[in-house]
Amino acid sequence: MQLISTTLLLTSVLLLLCAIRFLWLWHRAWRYESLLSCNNDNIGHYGITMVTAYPTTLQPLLAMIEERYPRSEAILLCDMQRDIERFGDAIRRFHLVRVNHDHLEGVRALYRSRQRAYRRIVVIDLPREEHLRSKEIAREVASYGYILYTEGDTTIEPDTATRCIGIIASYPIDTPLSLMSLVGEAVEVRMTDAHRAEQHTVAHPLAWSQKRHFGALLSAALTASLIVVAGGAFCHYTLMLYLATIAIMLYISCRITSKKNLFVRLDTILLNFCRFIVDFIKRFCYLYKRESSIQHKRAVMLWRHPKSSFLRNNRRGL
Amino acid sequence: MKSIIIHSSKGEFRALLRGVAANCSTTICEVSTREELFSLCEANRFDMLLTDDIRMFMNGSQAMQRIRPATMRPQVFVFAHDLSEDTIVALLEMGVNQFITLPLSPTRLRRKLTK
Amino acid sequence: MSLFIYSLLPLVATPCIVLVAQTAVHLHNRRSDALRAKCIGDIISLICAPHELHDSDIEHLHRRYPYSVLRDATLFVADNIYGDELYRLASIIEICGVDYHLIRTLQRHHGTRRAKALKHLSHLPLTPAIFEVAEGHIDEERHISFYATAALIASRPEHAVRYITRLRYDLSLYEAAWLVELMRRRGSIAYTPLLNSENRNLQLLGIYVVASLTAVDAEPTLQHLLSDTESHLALHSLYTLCALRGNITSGNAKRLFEVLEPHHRKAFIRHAVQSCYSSLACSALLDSDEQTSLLNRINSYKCRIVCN
Repeated sequence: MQLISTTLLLTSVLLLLCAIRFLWLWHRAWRYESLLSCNNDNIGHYGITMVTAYPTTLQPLLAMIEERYPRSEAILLCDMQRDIERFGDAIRRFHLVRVNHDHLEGVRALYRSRQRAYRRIVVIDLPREEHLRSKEIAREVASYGYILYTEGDTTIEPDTATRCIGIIASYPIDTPLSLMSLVGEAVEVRMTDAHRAEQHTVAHPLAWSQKRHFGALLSAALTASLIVVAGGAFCHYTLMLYLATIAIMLYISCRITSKKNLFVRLDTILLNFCRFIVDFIKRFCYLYKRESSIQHKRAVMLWRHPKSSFLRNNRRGL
Repeated sequence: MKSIIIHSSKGEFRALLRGVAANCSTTICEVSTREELFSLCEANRFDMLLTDDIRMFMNGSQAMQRIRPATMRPQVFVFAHDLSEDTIVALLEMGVNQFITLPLSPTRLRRKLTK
Repeated sequence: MSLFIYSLLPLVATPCIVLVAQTAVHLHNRRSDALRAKCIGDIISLICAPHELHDSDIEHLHRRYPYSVLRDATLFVADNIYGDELYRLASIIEICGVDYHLIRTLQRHHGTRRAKALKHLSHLPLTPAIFEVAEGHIDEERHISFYATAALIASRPEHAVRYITRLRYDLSLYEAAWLVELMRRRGSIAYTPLLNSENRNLQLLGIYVVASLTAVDAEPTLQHLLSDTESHLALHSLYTLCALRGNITSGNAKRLFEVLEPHHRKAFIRHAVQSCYSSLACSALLDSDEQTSLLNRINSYKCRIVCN
């Protein structure tokens, strides 16, 4: 009993320290990102393609269309035969026509729009059985240099494209670079054409909102209560520490979720909390690895301030 | 007496336009969401709409038909920092009357509003 | 029983903490947004007033609103208007002490907060006081040094070229875009001296100006820049030529294209196709394997409608 309670105590202290350090790093990165505000004008030739694969509604696509960055496009991957009621309406709404797609294997149809106002919208009819190839297909169809791939009902926050391009453009020109969200869904913005090994991954607190059903809320609540029961049953101090840890992590989740919706964020908060625990433990295991190969740079860079990782690139003369 | 409707999700931008349009012998209505804008346009006739929401016209929601249910009024003036040619042409195709790049000149805007 | 309480207490307490915290933050934001909008309305009515502006009117504004609201409001107005009204805004800024407070902020803080204060100062119209302050921060960390340079250019735009020549690092595209927008607001920019200079930053700015103004007269200079295939500016000149719908199949362009990495080639062809270049133009740059995928891509863009 004593051993278990000590272990739990140590775990919670460790989690608390990591949470505080994470919060501090996140706050620094957020302040740095808030310096980079651009007026939605084109930045050089940089553009971003946003992909939503097999959502259950049109909402993720509509959120991507709302992006004000001019060089952005929205690709919707869906199975038209199965979801014709949901997505057939999109064809009429955006004046889409079927266009030539011989070069894309497995794709049933490719739709682009006739009207200039909807030229940023592309719909790909890809059968569900081919969903493993959806990233590859999206990369083939994408028109711009950076690609943001989301699945299911992940809806991006407003101004995501502008923020991503602002961050990417603040690095030295043509640095092969990808952005990764620090918390929650591991969504990435990658270069459409770069060779995988060359990419430096920089972690930034990109906030993504996740639409999930009530079942996820229940499982999140169950996980949270199990953690509390396991810890709180043994020791008062552990309980206090768990309370403090939970409070800090929930604070982090609050900060990175949208400030707009006041009372409906509880499910997102609880879900982010559980995902955060899992992500945290996974990334914490990489913390002290010293590999210098490019593939592992992504983990090491997680703990660097974006400014210093930029300076490191500069010294190498990139 | 011209009637103007100002639409923006940002309160600061609405305040800016209201300050410029004040004392121009106009009546001013302010709305912050798209749904309010559409319901107000369906209920009343306005002479001008000043908005900074470009994507409203480019998301397939038939915004222009809802803003102008019967006639060619109100005149639609769109404000943005964008200088992209594609965006401007797309908006003009959608029926926007004038595209005003930010930063704007208050004097020139007042002249346009009182014309 | 105690087990039940232990598990129930955090489960009840944490949503309550979260909801209370969120409500408080939401109310605070709403109140400050409303105050800021009111301040902007008052500032605009002052600067658009037909009569002469008196110091007492501005003092009244100064007394009504706290410094942070005044700062945000004046920055918003300065960002969104131009013309003679900016002179009135400058006197409001001076009398309310917004620039003085910003200078104090940047002297008191370091790092990102200092850079942000310098950025705000570069947005404000016509404040010569920022010149001495900004000069002192040129040699610091990169983002502070950049915004200090921007503040210097904002206060003395006629010496912009000199200040940019003093930079010891290569500008990123975001910084170039920012500087070009700043210089455009402060005065007109001639791209020819920028393109013809030896300094890489000035050349990048020149290319950027050409792209944003779509100045087709600059095409010969851009073609000449393509000849130096080692330079990172060559690729940007190629992209800018695309933006101008210029000739991307000239000798210089072909030579540059041959030495590019495969992913850069693919990225450029993607861009060229999106800019509506024909298959004839693009295939002159590619070898036969790449031409097939190119043709397929162009066909899908040209909307060859499938009538099944």
